[in-house]
Formats: sequence, C-alpha cells, structure tokens
Amino acid sequence: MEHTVKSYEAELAQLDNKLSHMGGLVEQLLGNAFAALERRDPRLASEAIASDRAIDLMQREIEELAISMIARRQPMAQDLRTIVSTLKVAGDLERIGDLAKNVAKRALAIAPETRPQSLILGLRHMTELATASLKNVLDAYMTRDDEKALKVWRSDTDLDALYNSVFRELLTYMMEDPRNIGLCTHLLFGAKNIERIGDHGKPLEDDRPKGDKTSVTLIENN
Amino acid sequence: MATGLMDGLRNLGRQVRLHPTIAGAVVAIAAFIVLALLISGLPAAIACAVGAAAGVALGKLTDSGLGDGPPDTTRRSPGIRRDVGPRSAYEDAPWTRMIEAMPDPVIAVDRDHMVMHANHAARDIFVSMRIGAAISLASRSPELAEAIDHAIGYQESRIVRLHERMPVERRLDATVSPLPSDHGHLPAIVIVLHDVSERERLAQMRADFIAHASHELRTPMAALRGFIETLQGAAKHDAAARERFLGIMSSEAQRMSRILDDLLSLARVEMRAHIAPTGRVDVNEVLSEVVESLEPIAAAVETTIQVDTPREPCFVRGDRDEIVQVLVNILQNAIKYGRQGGAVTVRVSLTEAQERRLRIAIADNGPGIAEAHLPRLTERFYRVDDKSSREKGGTGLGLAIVKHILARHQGDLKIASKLGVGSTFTVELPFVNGE
Ligand SMILES: Nc1ncnc2c1ncn2[C@@H]1O[C@H](COP(=O)(O)OP(=O)(O)OP(=O)(O)O)[C@@H](O)[C@H]1O
Ligand SMILES: [Mg+2]
Repeated sequence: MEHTVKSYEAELAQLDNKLSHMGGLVEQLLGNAFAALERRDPRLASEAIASDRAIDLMQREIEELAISMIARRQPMAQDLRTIVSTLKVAGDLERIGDLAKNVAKRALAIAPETRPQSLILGLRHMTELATASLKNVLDAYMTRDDEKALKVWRSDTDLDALYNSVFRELLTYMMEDPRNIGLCTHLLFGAKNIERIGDHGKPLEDDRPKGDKTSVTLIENN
Repeated sequence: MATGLMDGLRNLGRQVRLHPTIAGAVVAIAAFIVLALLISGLPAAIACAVGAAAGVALGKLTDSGLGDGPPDTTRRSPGIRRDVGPRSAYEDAPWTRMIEAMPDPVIAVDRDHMVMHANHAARDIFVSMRIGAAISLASRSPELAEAIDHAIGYQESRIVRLHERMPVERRLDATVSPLPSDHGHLPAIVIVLHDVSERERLAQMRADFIAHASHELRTPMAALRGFIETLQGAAKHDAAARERFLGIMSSEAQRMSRILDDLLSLARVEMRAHIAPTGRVDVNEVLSEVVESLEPIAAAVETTIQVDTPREPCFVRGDRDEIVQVLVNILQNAIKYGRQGGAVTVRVSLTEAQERRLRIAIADNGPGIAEAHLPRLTERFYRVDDKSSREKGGTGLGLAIVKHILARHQGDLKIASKLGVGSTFTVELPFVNGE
C-alpha cells in the first residue's frame, strides 16, 4: 500500500497520533451525548450517534497499522509493549464510544419528555466524573505519566458509589409518581452506561482497613 | 493486583539490564502473557504503558551508566521529543518573542502538529501542553486537528470552537491560520485563541437559572397561594389560624428569597470559574471572623465551636469573599445538622507533600450522613432528608457553591462520615508563603 518506507520512529508516532485522535473523538461523543440528554436535543443526539462510525473506523486503522508494524518490524521489548497496549487502549476507547452512543440513544428516546430537569442532576455528576477520568487516562497514557494513571484508577470508586446512589434516587422518583417511570427508566439505563464507562479503568482493591465504617467521598480539582 | 503487575513489569525491566541478550525476548513473551492473563479494561493498557515508561527509564540508566547493549537513542514516549526540554527551542527567535508579547493565547505549530512555541497566556490555559510535543496533548478536539490539516492543505484559515471540560470548563474560539512561508524554522500554523467562556456561560446560565428557579420556587409558591386562598375564604375570621398561617407564609417567603440568593451566588461563582484567583488570604484571620459571626446560631443550639490553628498566619491563594463563603457554608452545616448541644471543631494544618497545601478540617459530632448520600452532596439542590433539612432552612445549594469555589481555587473537598458519630468536611487549598 505505502510506497515510501517510513521510519520506524515515524510509525510509532503515527500510531500515537491516531490513538490521540480517537481519544478526542470519544471525548467529544461523550460530551455531546450527555448534552443531548440534558437539553433534550434530538439533533445533537443523532449527531453523536453518527459520530460513533468515525471512532470505529479509527480503531480499525489503528489495528491495521499496529498489526502490520508487528509483522514487518518484529519489535522487541518496550516497543512491542507500546504497540500492544495501544491496541488495548483503542479497544477500550471503542467500547467507551459504544456506551456513550447508547446514552445518546436514550437522549433521542426522552427528547419529547417535559419532566423536571432535576431528575438528571445525578447523571450530570456521573458524566462529569466519567469525563474527567477519561481525560486523565488519556493524558496519562499520552505522556506516560504513571502517577496520574494510578490516581485515575483510584478515583473510579467514586463513580460506582455515585451510580448506586443515583439508582436508588431514580427508583424513589418512580415510586413517588408513576408518571416518572418512563423517563426514569431511560435515565437508569443511561446511568448504567456511564457507570460502565468508568469500569474501563477499574479501581485498585479498596485499601481502607476492614471494619472501619467511615464513608468517604472526595471532590478533587487538581 | 495492579501494583503487583507493575512491580512485575519493573522487575522485567531490571532483568533487561542484567541479561541484555535474552532480555528482549523475555520481556516480549512476558508482555503477551500478562495481556493474556488480564481481562479487558484500561488497567492492562495502563500497566503496559507504565511498564513501558519504567522500561524507558531503566533503559536510559543502562545506556548512560553501564553501557551494555546498543545505545537507546530512539524515542518511545509519544509526542514528546526528548531533545527538546520544557522550554522552546526557538526561544530567541524574533517570532517567538513577538508571540510571547501578545495578550491573547497564541500557539505556533509545525506541519506535524508539534507545538513550536506557545505564549504565556496559552500555557496558562493548557496545563498539559508541552513545547516540542504534539498539540493533541493540549487539546484533542477533532475540529482543531482538522482545521490544522485544512490550513496546511489549502492555505486557508478557519475558526473552530473548543470546549475544554477540565480542569475547569472553558470554551475558546481558535483561529487557525497558515503562515505562507515554508521555512523549516518558522511555524506552519499560528493558532490564536479567544476565551468565550463568559459569553457562552451567560447564555447557559440564563437557561439554567430559569429552569431551576421556576422549578424550585414552584413548591413554596403553591403553598403561599394555598394559604392566601384559605385566608381569603374559610379562615377569614379565624384569628388563631390567621396567625399561624402568616407565620408559615413568612417562612416560605424567606425560603424563596434564600433560594434566589443562593442561585445568584452560584451563578456568580460559575461565571468566574475559568479565572484563577490572584489574592492572598490569611485563613486564620478569615476563620476567626467567620466563627465569630456564627457564634450566635451555635449558641442557639448550645453547640460549641473550637478552633485549632497554627500560631503563624496561614496564607492561601484565593479570593477572600469566596473563602469566607466556603467556611461559612460548611460551618453552618456542621452547626445546623450536628446535634443539639454538640461540639464542632475546626483544625487547620499544613500537608507534608512537596507542593504544600493548607488543610482545614471541620468536624461535628452529629448523626452523620449515610454512605449512599456522600458522593451526591455537592450536587445542586441535593438534600439528604428533604423534610428535615427543609425545616432547617436548607436549599441544597450550599455545598454546590463550595464545590465551584474550590474548583476555581484548585482546592479539594473530602467528606468523611460515620453514622451516629459525626461528619468531617476537609478542605485543601494551595498554600502560599507569607511575605
Ligand atoms: N455536617 C453535616 N451533617 C449531616 N448532614 C449534613 C452535614 N452537612 C450537610 N449535610 C447534608 O447535606 C445536605 C446539603 O447541604 P448543603 O449545604 O448543600 O445544603 P443545605 O444546607 O440544605 O442548604 P443551604 O446551605 O443552601 O442553606 C444538607 O441538606 C444536609 O442534609
Ligand atoms: Mg448548607
């Protein structure tokens, strides 16, 4: 396919650029999917759903390049690790894209709803956390910053706790007023999808001492 | 498990040093085994990345120190050119100094999307940007990348809207223009940024404000209407009922105005979210003022406030009024939701970490907060127990305001609570020296 023989260096850089581009597309999709849900904007939702195609394409490009690099160059040690982990990250990003697309589909479904906006505040909070950890994971990966990567890992416990709380809250709304059931069901599925986005960076084992009943939440900005 | 994995990878790196001939193969095989063992999820990928990074570091050690194996001159970390430090290689070029002098954020990139230089204003906004590295470290916006390609391919400029969500939400208009010259040492593209967060936020806030205000005010408004109707009709001549209803009406009206005040306050904080505070605030001094102002409401419920601070002044970078707001909100909660006759303690200390931070821990010995609610408390309008906190005059906006203020100050909030024992709200802010 390619006529010029690219340097190995350049190919590695290209692989990273593609991954970074893919990351940007996924971040954009997640942002738009939630904005569509919050604003009940069917047009934005459709746009978000359509953009998942570009993500899938990019994943395929990354796979092809990575596999051809492994075949042609037979990289060793760190280089092989880098290439293989790029493949892994691309796979995760593709999954995250799918999950975000599902959120956008919920947005389409609830677009005609006029129920109060307050029902969605929990999901907004979840999306903020998911967005932050996605960005941190990508930043950490792109700069090979292991400290930052560890921090992301830990912070994902929060998304779990948040999901459980949002789940209970939405159930309460449904029981309080049956007219909320339709909307809340969609929001429940939306919340589930956002929570699974966090799963793509599963936390370390809980390092709190057993038997300590103190619950903790942490809101970080640095 | 994860740490074990990383240690494993590091050890493999060490083996590379000891047995350079076979190490490559060992690591390659190990990497595959590790991958095969791991189920899906980023951890594997990160671990690999981290492992690779550790490998690079160890590789460097080997090259410079022991000299066994061929010198490792290739670059492995993406987007980072090792030969260029954090500062620009073009630092002394006239164009660089010109860009540096501009008040708007400006970034110059080459044909490969590598940042050649970025001025101060731009570096302030994009904290993860590196000179000499790909611009995608600063922003992964697909539109930006596309506009750069377009400018290079067609020699046309474009304006794209960037929406950065971290560390603070920010919207920027980026004008991406090609430079006609094709000299290697001149930038191919110049990106001039214009922060439009304020304008955008204003529109968004108007919408939010109307949505929230109309929704939150509906309930007390309905109550007021009901009482007015009753007073005009059935209870017209019932003096006792009139007295009671007027009391309730007055407190509902107070609640409505408190909601409006809080919403305005939140709006003001949100408006400035993207502007870092520049003042210097002595937390000790602010604390004594805040505690004094809250003594009366604490005395009313027979609660004592005990303050424990270092003797010397403790300065943080911040906006005085906003720091006051943070402390008032948290202390007021501790008094309000703590128990009658309780004890509230405020402890100020410095963290040991390299970048020192000032820690303010506010603890009460009240009923505590159930785990399920903890992560939600900072959402606007979130209340643990709607009824009791409404009786206590809560609007559920206090901690939302606190969160926004802290975000602007690069501060953290940690909430720990144990049912039946009490709650501790710990604020951390960047510490600055006193002179
Ligand atoms: N120290 C505490 N102990 C127990 N519960 C608390 C404590 N602090 C806050 N809470 C709970 O968190 C909820 C949210 O607090 P927040 O300060 O945001 O709102 P509020 O106090 O209800 O209203 P506002 O501060 O706007 O008057 C409160 O309603 C209360 O239920
Ligand atoms: Mg409060």
